[in-house]
Amino acid sequence: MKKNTMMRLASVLLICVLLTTSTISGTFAKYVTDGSGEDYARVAKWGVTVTSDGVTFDKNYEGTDATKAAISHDNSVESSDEWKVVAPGTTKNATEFSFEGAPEVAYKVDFEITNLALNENWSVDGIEYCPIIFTVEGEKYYIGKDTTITDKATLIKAVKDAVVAVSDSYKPNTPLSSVDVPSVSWEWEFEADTLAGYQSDPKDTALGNKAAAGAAATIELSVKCTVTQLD
Amino acid sequence: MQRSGGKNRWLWLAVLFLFVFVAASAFILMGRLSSYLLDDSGAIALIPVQEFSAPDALASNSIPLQQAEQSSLVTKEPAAENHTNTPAAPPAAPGFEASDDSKVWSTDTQVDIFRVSYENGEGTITVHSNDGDRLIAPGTENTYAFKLKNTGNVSLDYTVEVDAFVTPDGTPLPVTGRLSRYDGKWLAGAPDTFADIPALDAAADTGTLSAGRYTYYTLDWLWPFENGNDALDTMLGNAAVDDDLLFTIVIRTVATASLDPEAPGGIIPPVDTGDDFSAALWLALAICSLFLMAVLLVFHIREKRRA
Repeated sequence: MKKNTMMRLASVLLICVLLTTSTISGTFAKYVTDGSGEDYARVAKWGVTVTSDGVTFDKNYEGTDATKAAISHDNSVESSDEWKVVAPGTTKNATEFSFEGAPEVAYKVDFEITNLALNENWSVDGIEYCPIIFTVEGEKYYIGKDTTITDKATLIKAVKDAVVAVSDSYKPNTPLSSVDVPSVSWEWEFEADTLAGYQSDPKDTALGNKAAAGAAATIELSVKCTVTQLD
Repeated sequence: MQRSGGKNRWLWLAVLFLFVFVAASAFILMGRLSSYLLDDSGAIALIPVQEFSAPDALASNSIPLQQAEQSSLVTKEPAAENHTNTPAAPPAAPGFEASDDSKVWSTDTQVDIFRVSYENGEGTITVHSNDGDRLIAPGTENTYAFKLKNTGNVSLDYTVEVDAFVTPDGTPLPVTGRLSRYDGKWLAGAPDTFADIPALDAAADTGTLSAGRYTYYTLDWLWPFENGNDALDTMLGNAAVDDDLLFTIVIRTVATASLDPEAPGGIIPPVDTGDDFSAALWLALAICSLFLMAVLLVFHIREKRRA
């Protein structure tokens, strides 16, 4: 008896489903309606911040420990007016940059020396003399380095080219905090180590005397950092 | 024993349900496929109707000449009536489908007009979302194609409209776009020109599709990398850090049965030498269910014998 009941139930179910599907197929055949497709996107994040203290030269420079002890004063070089100064034994980093942001686009970080100028007073007895050494990513550039750097003009060009070469590109979502900031610095050696044979105490003294007489040699150095989206 | 019997009953029931589902699905599919059957209302009958002329009839009967003049054996001509068999026209069954390469649209269907990541011509990823959201940025672009198809057996009149807008309202987004139909009709922009967002927002078209025919449209959008306003692009990118600046595109389609059920329009789809109905799948399911039923029957009989 149970078995017959199950079979009967299954048969009834089968008939019901067949009737239902007949109805459904007719309903599908009459289906006419509208349809819509939609999509949206948000603007990709940029949010890059580059900051720099903008200080390439100083008015005061700290002396060595021995000098401090000898003069009982921290600074071995101090400007007497509003001018910032350079002198034998002074040095400073020219690229103190800090970055923030993680753009959702690929980008390039460019460094560029927008201004590097050495005026006409870098001379002794009418002969050009500039003992300033520029270091870019550990590579030193100075007059007499090689046959390509023989005077101020070629020195300036070599330093500018070296700074441009350290520009780099990054994938989307790379935090700018991980960007390698190239080290660019200048130095006037106290002792002629690198510029042996070119730099000398009498020549350095002559430049100092010219400055005291109001004909100071001047140096201008500006480094710019630009972050640009890559296409 | 009872436990085994009860278990078998449930198994029987499950098998029957499976078979019923297979049958139901087959019925549904056959119902949909019937609209694609060829219309043979214009077919020519294989056996033509023949009329007998008087001379031919006389030649087959021997009648004296005198009597032949007074009588004639003429096969009665068939009544002048239409003998062609014209089957009754099938009932009107309109059907409409909007789709792209990957999906059929329903209402507010998410489609792939924008992307999470973009590459340049060298295959380098230049834009990539950090959270899976779809993005736009200077230098990004994309093309999206969609199809409108008459899946029924009567002509349809359709309308397609584009809604394009920026959120928050008033954001000066320098994105451009264009919309074209397969036959070269431009609804926004031109072959060498992209339109601004308001022009894209106003894009619309109407048309007619005959039964079984289709039409398709291509939507392009572009945020120019060099648009002469880097300051604006940078401002938008910086603003996007804290707020979502959204660009939305909605494509709406509506279809209704034409007044003339045979109105022309649309592209004739290529002839399919075979449909894509997966008979093998359904046949396999049916065979599996029958096999299972047979196995269970044998098992049940053995159990009865042991009892």
